[in-house]
Formats: sequence, C-alpha cells, structure tokens
Amino acid sequence: MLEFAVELRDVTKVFPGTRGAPEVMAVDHVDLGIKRGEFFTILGPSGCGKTTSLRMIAGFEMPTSGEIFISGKSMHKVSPNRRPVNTVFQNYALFPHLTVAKNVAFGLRVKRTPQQDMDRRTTTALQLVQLPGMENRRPSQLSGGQQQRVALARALINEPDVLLLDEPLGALDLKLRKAMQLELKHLQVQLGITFIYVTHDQEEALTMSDRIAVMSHGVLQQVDTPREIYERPTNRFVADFIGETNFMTGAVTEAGEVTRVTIGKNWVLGMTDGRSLSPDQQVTVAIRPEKISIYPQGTVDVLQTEIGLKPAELAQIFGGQLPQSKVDVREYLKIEQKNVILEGWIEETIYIGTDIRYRVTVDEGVSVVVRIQNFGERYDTTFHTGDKVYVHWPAENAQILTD
Amino acid sequence: MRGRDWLGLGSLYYLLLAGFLYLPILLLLIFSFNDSESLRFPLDGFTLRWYETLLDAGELLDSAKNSLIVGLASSLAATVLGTMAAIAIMRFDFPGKGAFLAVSALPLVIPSVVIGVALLILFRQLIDLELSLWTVGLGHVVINIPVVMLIVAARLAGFPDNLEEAAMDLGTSYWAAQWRVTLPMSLPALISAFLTAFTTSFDEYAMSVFIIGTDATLPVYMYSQLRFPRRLPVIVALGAIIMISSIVIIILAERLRRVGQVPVTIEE
Amino acid sequence: MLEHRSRVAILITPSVLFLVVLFLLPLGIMAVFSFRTGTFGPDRDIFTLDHYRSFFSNTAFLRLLWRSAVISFWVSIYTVILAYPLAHFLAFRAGDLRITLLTIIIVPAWVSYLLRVLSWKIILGSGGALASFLNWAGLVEGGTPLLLYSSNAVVITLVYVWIPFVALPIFAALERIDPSLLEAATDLGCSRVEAFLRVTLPLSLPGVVAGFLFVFIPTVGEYVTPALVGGPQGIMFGNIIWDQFLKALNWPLGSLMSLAMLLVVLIPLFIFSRFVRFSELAGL
Repeated sequence: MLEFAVELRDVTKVFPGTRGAPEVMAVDHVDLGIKRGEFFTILGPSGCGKTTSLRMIAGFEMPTSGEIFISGKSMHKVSPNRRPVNTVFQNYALFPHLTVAKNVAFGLRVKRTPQQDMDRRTTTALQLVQLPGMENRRPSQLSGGQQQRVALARALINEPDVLLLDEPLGALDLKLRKAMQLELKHLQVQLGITFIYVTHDQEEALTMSDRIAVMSHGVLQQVDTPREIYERPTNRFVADFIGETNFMTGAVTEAGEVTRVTIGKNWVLGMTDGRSLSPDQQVTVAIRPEKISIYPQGTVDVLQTEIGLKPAELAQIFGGQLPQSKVDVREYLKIEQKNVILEGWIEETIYIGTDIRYRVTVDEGVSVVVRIQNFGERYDTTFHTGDKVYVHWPAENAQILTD
Repeated sequence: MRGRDWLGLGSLYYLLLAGFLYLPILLLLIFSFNDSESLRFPLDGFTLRWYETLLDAGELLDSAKNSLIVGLASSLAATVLGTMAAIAIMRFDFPGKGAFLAVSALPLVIPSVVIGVALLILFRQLIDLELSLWTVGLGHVVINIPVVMLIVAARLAGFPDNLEEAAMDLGTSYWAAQWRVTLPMSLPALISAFLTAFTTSFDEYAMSVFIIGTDATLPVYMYSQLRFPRRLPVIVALGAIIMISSIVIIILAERLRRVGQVPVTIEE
Repeated sequence: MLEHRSRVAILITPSVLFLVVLFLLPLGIMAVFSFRTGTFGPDRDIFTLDHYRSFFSNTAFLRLLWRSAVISFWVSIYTVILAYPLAHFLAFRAGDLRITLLTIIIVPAWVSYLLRVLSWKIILGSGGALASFLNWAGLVEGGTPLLLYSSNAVVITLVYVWIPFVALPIFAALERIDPSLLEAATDLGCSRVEAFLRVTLPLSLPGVVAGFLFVFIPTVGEYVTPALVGGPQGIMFGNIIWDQFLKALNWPLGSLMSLAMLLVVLIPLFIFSRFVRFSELAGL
C-alpha cells in the first residue's frame, strides 16, 4: 500500500438531481493506484468525472461510496485543510487582496511559520517557478502565465505529498502552454513530488505523463503509459479520443495471436492482444493513419523502391548493369508475411505541412485515412486525387477492438 | 463546527432577525384592527372602523394626494435628468467628468437636514420664493438624481456602446439612437430608478419639513398628528395600506431591474 | 470631437444646473449665512463672528455634536454587526432562495420611516405595547424600566430602521467573492473560521464600509427619531439645528451648526476613501 501515493478504492460519486433533473453519477466505481513520484494524468472529455475525482482527492467533495487513501492513510471525513495535498486551480484562485509574496506564503502563515522562514522559502519558491522579484506585485498586475506560476509556487511551498493540478494550462495561449508543459514536467522530475494532473487535452497528457488514466462518463477506460495508450488502446473510446484512428467493422474469420477480419469484399489483419474472440463475432479494427503505407498500382522497380536511388546511381553500385527488378506491386507487397493489402483509389488529398493526408476508398462505404510524412521534394511520394493505389500495413499496426 | 451546524445556526439567525424586523410592523397592523384608541395591550376586539374613518379623513387624504403628485413629478424629473447624466458618464469622456461625478454623488453623503435648511435659506433669503409643494418637489429632485444615476449607470455598464454605433451606422442620428436603442434596453433600470425615487420622495420628511408651505405632504401631515394619540389608529390604518402597496411596488421594481441583467441559466 | 462635446453638454447641463443652483449654491449661501448677525431685517446684513464665538465656547453644543457622532457610530457598528451574519448566510448558504430571502428582509425597509419609528415608540413606552404586554402576561409588576425617551431608545430604533439597508451592500460584496478562493484557502490549510477571517472578511470589506457609511452619514443628521423616542435625554445635534431654524429663528447660528455637522460627516468619509476604492462601492 505504501508504494501508492494516492489510492482510490471502488470510489463512486453521485450528485443528487436539482429541480427536476435526475441525479448524476459523476464517478462510477473507480479503482486507481497512483505511484509515488509519478506524473499521473487523468484524461477525458468534459463531464467525464476527472475533475470530480481530483476534487475528491483534494477533499472538496466526499465520495458517495468507496475510500480514498493518501500516503496510506484513509481520508474518510478528513477536511481539505488537513490533507497532505495542495491544489493548483484552473482559474488560479489567487487572493486579490494579497501581494504575490503573501499569496505564496499563505499556507505557511496558516501554520504559523516564523516570518524569516516564510520569507526565505517564498524567495526560493518564486525562483523555482522563475518569477524572482515579483514579491510585491498584486495578482491583478500579472499576466495569465505569471499568475499560473504564482499559483504553482503557492502550492509547492507547502511541500505536499501530492500536487493536484486541475487543467492549469487551459487559459494560456498555445505557445505558452507548450512551454509550460515542459516546465511543469521538468519541475516534477526535479522535485520528485507526485503530480496528479487533470486535462482534456490528449496531446498534453501524452507529452507530460508517466501514466495516463482515460475516463469517460465516470468510468475508467484504460490506465497505462502514454505509449501503451497510444499504441494499444483497449477500446474504441480510447482509440478515438487519443489521436486519430481509422475504424472498420467486420466479422472474425480466424482468431489467434493475429486475427483475420472480413470487411466487405476485403479482409484485414490486426492484433488480438489477449482478447477472446469467436468466429463470426463483430469486431472493430483500429489502425492509425501514420501506420499505413500507400503504393501506386501497377509495377514497381523493387531496387529503386527499396534503396531509393535513381537508376543511374544504382547502376554505379551494380557495376553498370541493373538486374531486372520490376515487379507487380501487389506481388511485391505479398512477400512479407502477415500484411494487409487493400486496393483502392484516392478520394481526397489534404496538405497539412508536416504530413499529407489521404483518404483512400477501398470498398463501398469503406475508406481509410492515411498520413504520409512530407519528406520534401527529392523523396517526393505525393499521390493525387483519383490515383489508383494499394494501402498496406503489417498486422502489428492494427488492433482488434470488441467495444 | 461541521458545515451542517453552521447552516442550522444561520437559518436560526435569519429567522430571528426577520422576526425582529417584521414584529413591529405586524404590531402596527394588529393595532389598526384594534377596537381601541390607545395602542396598548390587551386588545379590545376587532374592528374596521379606523379604515372607515380614513374615507372621511379629508386632510389626511389631501396630504396623500399631494405626496402622490410631488412624488410622480419629482421622480419623473429626477429620472430624466439622472438618465441623461448616466449616459454622459458611461459613454463619454470629458473634461470635468471627475468633478461632475463627485458633485452628483454629494447629495448622497450629506444628511437631509442640512440640504433642507440650505434650500430653506436659498428659497426664502436669496430668491424670496414662497414655500410650497413646488419647493418640496425641487428638493426631492436634487436628492434623487444621484440614485437614478447609480441605477441607470449600472445598467448601461451591462451592454456595450456599439449597439448605439450600430444604429447610427444604419442611418439614425445620435439622439434617435438613444431613443431607439439605449432607452428601450435600459427600460427595466429606468422603471426601477423611477420607483426608487418615488418611494424615497413619498416617504421623505427630514428635508421636506423645512421647505414645505401650507399644503402638507403625507409624512409631514402624519408627523403633525403624532402628538394626538386619538388620531394614531387612523394613521396606522393608512400606514398599513401604504405598506402593502409599497411592498408590491418594490417587488415589481426589483423584478424589473433584474430583467435583462441576469442571463438566463441553461440547464446542463 | 465637436459633436461629442455638444452631446455631452446637452446630456449633463440639466443635471448640472440642478446640482449647482439647488445644491451647491444653497450650501454656499448657508456657509455665508453663518456670518450674518440675524435672520431678518437689518441684522441680516451685518456680518459678524459672534455666532462662531458663541458656538465654539458653548461646550453644551460641542458635547452634543460629539455625542451625536458617537451615537451614530454605535448605531452603524451595531447595524453592521447584526447585518453581516445575515448577509453571509444569504450569500453562502441560501442557494437558490437567496434573492427571495433577501427581498423578504428588504420589504420592512419600505414601510414608511415614520411608522417604523412610531412602532418602536409604541413598543418601548411605559404605557406602551411592551410594558402592557408584559403586565398582561403577568411577567412584570407596574411599569418596565423606562426604555423610551433615552438615547438607548434612539439607538435601538435606528438600528431597526437601518439593518435591511446595510445588509444589501454587504451581501453584494460577499456574493462577488469567487468560491474557488475559499477552496484555495482550505486547500492551503485554513479551517472554516480561518478561511473566513483571512479571505472572506477582507474581501467583503468594501461592502462593509459602504454599509457603515450608508448608516453613519444620515444618522449624524437624525432628528426625527430622537424627537419621537429620545426625549430630553436622547436629543441629537439635528434637533438643535431644527430648533434654530424653525423655533428660535436664528438661521445664522443654525447654518453654522449645519457646517459643523458637515465636517463631522465628511471626516470619516475622507478617512475611508483613503483605504477603500469607491469604484468597488459602486457595486451597490
């Protein structure tokens, strides 16, 4: 139990209905163990229960059932002011009638810390968040980013076991937000304090977290490292919420470590990942756009494709004579095992700068989105709307989802 | 203390204080139905005779009528003047704005008795004007202008001036834009300001007594009768009627002031 | 810009006229009047400092002025202390009902002031309601200790009159406090009481000051309530001003007294304006 900084055991929160509206189950039997020193993020859309969960850890809400433990101690009926946690609020909640210094030292003053100590620690805290010299300013004189740092300093100065952050970067503009994300991460690593972070921004979660808990409608969907969540989502919600995913529904024809699914007149492969599947079961195949490749239909010169040099350059390697290496694309692709090859044509091309995004129709009503990185002019692999192509992926790149 | 304890304590305090505030009024109400000339316990039985006497109380009703006229006229004037001033303050910058604000706020921070005697000196010494309901009315306008300004300015702060600009862009003159846009949008505040000014005027005694002539307003008349204990129940009866009407009017005023200011909450 | 000038001029001229002619001018004339010898006739045109001399040497007058200020001070303090918990309850605990409950409290304030004072005259009088009620209920023999005709009666009555008016600005100030500030205070270790003292109270101070001044200023000039329930013990400075103008007809002296009263009112106003920004009070 002591390895967990915070533990939620079967925690449920029900809000009673008001004025004719029904009651709301904001958090539905959640079990969570957050490790010491971890940067843990609770991620989900608005209304998923992430903020409620955070507030229950802080003590502003009490669970309807279940128990919360912080550093091994039950927080049953413990009011927020007696918990070893501090919160950074979404709107910063800086006291407008106090200076920055008095805001930061507020928690210390409540504990009757001697003035000298308070001053010293305030200076340190402000340096930590890179706001030296701001002691005598008022919150209203600060920019959003500065206010956010003061809120951070005010929480950290109390050396809490756990720091709770409720979407703290939401009000900042994009560039500042990205800079702060890195700063927060570095700070967390430097201090070694457990951070519990709440956000709806999945990119933010992926960037900063050691582990992520994805929530929807009060229920935990998946708790895993960012990599696992991205590469192996457990269900459709997670696959859809994080990044972009192609979904295709079909029936299972062969189940195993790799499963074969029939979709219209095509079949595809995907990883089963331990799920129990039966033949003819309807499942969803999920694959991310960047994990698919596109090849033009027709013939391809294998040597040129694999090595990527022009014929004259290749000729140099082979002493003047190039071996015959033209092959039908489809045959070429079939060489490797456990691949998916689908025939189709490009319906839509969108240039995004870093990538080019193609929508390829492979069957009636079935299309996949593919992202090809923009490698520049020399290695130009651009296709055009209307081109007949093959899309291709190895089985390992797709997941079979049952829900 | 736990949260629930404070809630109970707070509710209790509210009830006690509300009781404290209503008890004397209820007492008056009871005595207005009491069949006795003296206002003391034990009660002597139920009667409506004081309310009946009201119908004959010529002087009393005259003074009430005077108060009504003075109230309506002075409130109308104060509302017009105060609204115009509020528009100037909230929509323009001009030299002397600060001074104007300060001066217009002054009547609020000066006790009525001082305003009353100052006006008395003005009317009788400088101008040699006969004291009358007119002089009282003028005094009421002066003390109500700041209140009207406050209420209307608060409302004007609630919507931006580019609505007027939009109207002018579409072809109206500035003054037409005020008439077509600003005033309609401020209507709840205007009505609320008017009613507030009216209630202040109707109840005004401290200043009025100095600058009133032979025609009395209701408070002035009431005060003059307080020396006669026999007359008290009738006055109390009238007071009860006024009280009920005031309550109705003020509730209306509050409702109206909030119309257009409080956004409709969307049920989530 | 020119068209703006004319618009502003049209908008504020009527008010300016009223305020200058019917407010500033009278005050100025009154100030001048304090130097005149008498109210009417030839005496009026002779200027003198006699009234000033007699006023400042008359300790009775000065003591009465001071006592009026003190009474006003206590009335204001009591009213604020009694109204604050009410406003706090409404702002933080009453939820959806708070406007309704607030209105219920405000309603008594819109009963005629004279009647409200009269009601206390009835309650406090020895032949009055409270005493006769207690007698009839058998709780007390004979007359009750005389509450009526004292400065205590004045204080009680005025507190009663003003509580609803003071609850309003305090409520408005409390309502405006962001609830997440209180959560932050508890998060940082404050108990409920501490959060109140460190956050709620300081932030509600503009409303409290507004309420205090709202009572203090008119009360310094009070004379109706003292006349009705104060008796000889409970008279206030406003009463002797009334005397000078309507009985003794010594308008110069009365003018001087009014000026003295103005000073008493304006000094706390000035002090408070140093500490509290009036723009916040405008949220009245």
